[in-house]
Amino acid sequence: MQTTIQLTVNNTPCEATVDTRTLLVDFLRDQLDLTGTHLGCATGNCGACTVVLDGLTVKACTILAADVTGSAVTTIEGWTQDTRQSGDLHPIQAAFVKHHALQCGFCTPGMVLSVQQLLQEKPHPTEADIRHGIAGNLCRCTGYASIIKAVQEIARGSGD
Amino acid sequence: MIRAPFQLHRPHSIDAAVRLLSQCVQNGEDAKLLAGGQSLLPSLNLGLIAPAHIISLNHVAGLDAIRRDGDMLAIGAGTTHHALAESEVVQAHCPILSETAACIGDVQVRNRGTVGGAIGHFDPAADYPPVLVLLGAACQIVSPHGERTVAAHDVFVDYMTTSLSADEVLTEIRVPALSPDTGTAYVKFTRVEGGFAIVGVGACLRLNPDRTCRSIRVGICGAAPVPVRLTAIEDTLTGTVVNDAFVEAVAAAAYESAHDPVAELHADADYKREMVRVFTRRAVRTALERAD
Ligand SMILES: Cc1cc2nc3c(=O)[nH]c(=O)nc-3n(C[C@H](O)[C@H](O)[C@H](O)COP(=O)(O)OP(=O)(O)OC[C@H]3O[C@@H](n4cnc5c(N)ncnc54)[C@H](O)[C@@H]3O)c2cc1C
Ligand code: FES
Ligand code: FES
Repeated sequence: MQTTIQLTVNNTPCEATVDTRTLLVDFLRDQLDLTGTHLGCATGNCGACTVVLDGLTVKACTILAADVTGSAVTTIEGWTQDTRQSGDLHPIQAAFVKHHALQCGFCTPGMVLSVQQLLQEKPHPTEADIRHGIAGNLCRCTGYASIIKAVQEIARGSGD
Repeated sequence: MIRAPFQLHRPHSIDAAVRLLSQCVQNGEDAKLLAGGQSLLPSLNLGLIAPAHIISLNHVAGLDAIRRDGDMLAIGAGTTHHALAESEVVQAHCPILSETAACIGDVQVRNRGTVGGAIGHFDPAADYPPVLVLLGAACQIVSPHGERTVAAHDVFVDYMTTSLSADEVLTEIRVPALSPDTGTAYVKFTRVEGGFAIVGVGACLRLNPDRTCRSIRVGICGAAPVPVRLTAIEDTLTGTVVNDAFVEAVAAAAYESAHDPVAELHADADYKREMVRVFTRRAVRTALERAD
């Protein structure tokens, strides 16, 4: 069954025809070519497919694209739009690089979006808060200690 | 992409959803309601289920409302775990429910998953069921035959089985607004952060002015395929002095109640029974610390 959907993706309105079986992650990757959103497990466990849906992080493999018509989605590409244009790294990216908080990078887009959601809600998270905030993102390279260090540095540097 | 084809329906009212669901049932076609999709989508993706129709409840306005209704709180079935955890009304009048919602899965799961979906799916390790049972919660259920109210205790009937029939939609959960002097706690034992409960225990405790027990309620998941409530010991201990022996009596009763735990890879039945004892102790102690 085909259906037409309207979504605002990375601040750009788009209209598309999708099969109702299409997962949001597949729509972003296959129809919009936004391959920064990864597909790991398709069972809601790994968080590689994390995107921001109407302001909250969600796992895009657990959502039917046709069920969220009318919503606004931000992917890792949209989130880094501004800094990419200026050629800089976002502070979260810079801290990840500095602390080796990624190895293969498969989990990184989802991890970064979870970290930005955490810092938005809690600019000065404790280590427990950080662990709680990234619980939905698995890193097979087991870089958690470095990821936590990176987040702690951003939290320290954020001033207020 | 999900392999098996299905028709997706996006009704804008509960009436329309109920109508669609009952049409499917009458035609002998398998239909599934879709809420947050945190249990349904993984099952679809894995090909474990292949319904001919999916009826989304995500376009029904107001299904996520939370309101105070006299001495009750009415919580829409479409309320997400996140919204329940953050709700000031729930935090103020039924803090055990917000504490429970806040420890479900991880951030993304809580942002999307709903209380109605968690009841409908009824995983034996799910966190809400034992808490809803101990609170004496009531579920509002709508079908083409009308509306009925069912006690949470009568909703959870067997392993992953609820008493909802195929043409019924859960619309609201009603829990009592607790008196402010009630000490409440939900504690959960998981293998890793964000995991399902191996054992989860909820406790609500009220004290008399002389520090004897005015009332105690305990609900447990992990002890059996359905939530366990410790009614007998709750009655026995009402009016008695709350001390270490009191806590041990509850923990011992919890251990005895755990006669049929669902064994799993990381916790066999004996281990689970022991953990039921340990976590009941912790839940009652924490509830006591919070009671005044
Ligand atoms: C990684 C991960 C970790 C998790 N960890 C936990 C955990 O620690 N504790 C826990 O309790 N849960 C956990 N869950 C499950 C989570 O709570 C789900 O949100 C919940 O089980 C289903 O809610 P949903 O809104 O997503 O429902 P859906 O997945 O959309 O639906 C689930 C079932 O309920 C039915 N249903 C939905 N709404 C209604 C309704 N209004 N009336 C009747 N039937 C309905 C559906 O038809 C379906 O059969 C986890 C899930 C994931 C993916
Ligand atoms: S791909 Fe979505 S959680 Fe793993
Ligand atoms: S860096 Fe490889 S999975 Fe996280």
